[in-house]
Amino acid sequence: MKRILLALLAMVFMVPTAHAVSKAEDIATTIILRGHACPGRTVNNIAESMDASGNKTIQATCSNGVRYQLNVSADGRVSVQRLN
Amino acid sequence: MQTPEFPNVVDIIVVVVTCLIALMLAFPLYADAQGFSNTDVSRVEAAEPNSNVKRHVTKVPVLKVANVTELKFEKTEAEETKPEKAKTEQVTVDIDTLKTRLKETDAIGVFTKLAIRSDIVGLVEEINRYRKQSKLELKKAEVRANFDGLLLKIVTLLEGDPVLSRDLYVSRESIWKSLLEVKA
Repeated sequence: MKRILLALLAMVFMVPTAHAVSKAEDIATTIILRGHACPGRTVNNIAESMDASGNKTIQATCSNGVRYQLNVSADGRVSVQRLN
Repeated sequence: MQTPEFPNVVDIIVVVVTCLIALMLAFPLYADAQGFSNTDVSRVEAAEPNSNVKRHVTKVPVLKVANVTELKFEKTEAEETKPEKAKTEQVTVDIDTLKTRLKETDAIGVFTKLAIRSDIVGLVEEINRYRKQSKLELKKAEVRANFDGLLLKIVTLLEGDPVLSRDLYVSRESIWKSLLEVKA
């Protein structure tokens, strides 16, 4: 019984990590897709904000220290801007 | 006798084996083989007539010129029919289903999907702009190059969903035709 529980616990921890794309990876991929360099394909220091008209702004720093701003308009257009 | 407090070696082995099974279920080994199944089969089929001809020639070494031309004709006929069959097999994936699968896949995140959507909308706008200016036929090669680049990006991003990636690549001609049909 104990071994079955251990096996189930291992399954629970392993399967989601194998499938899901983290937000940091998602943002980094978007930055790369817009032609900017983001080594390691991950970001940190993520800050999000949304204005009254539904435009979303996300700021994140790549592993090389460069900070980017992602602008997602209300109609779903995505643009990336380098901040430093 | 009391059982020891630290985990048993068998328990550790059970956990490791379960993790390996979970990983194998998540990333199946046959996925890579699946990714090329259709195209590879067609290539193998197309290659067979060559080998048949060679075998036939070796069986009858004293063939005259007329017989050789007959053999060549058989070979070209076989070569023409097989790729046509492969082409018709390639364009079988429904585009609406592909759209739904692309929206629902876990291999890419929300922002990446939005970025891809923006790129597709941009491409459609470019096509419509050229159509309005009656320059679409002239600029078709340029637009097709942009389309191929975008498709390559999407296929590369979908490394976590190899089946969808393969289906998108296989049905690229259908997607291109449907893009050309979209009007503003």
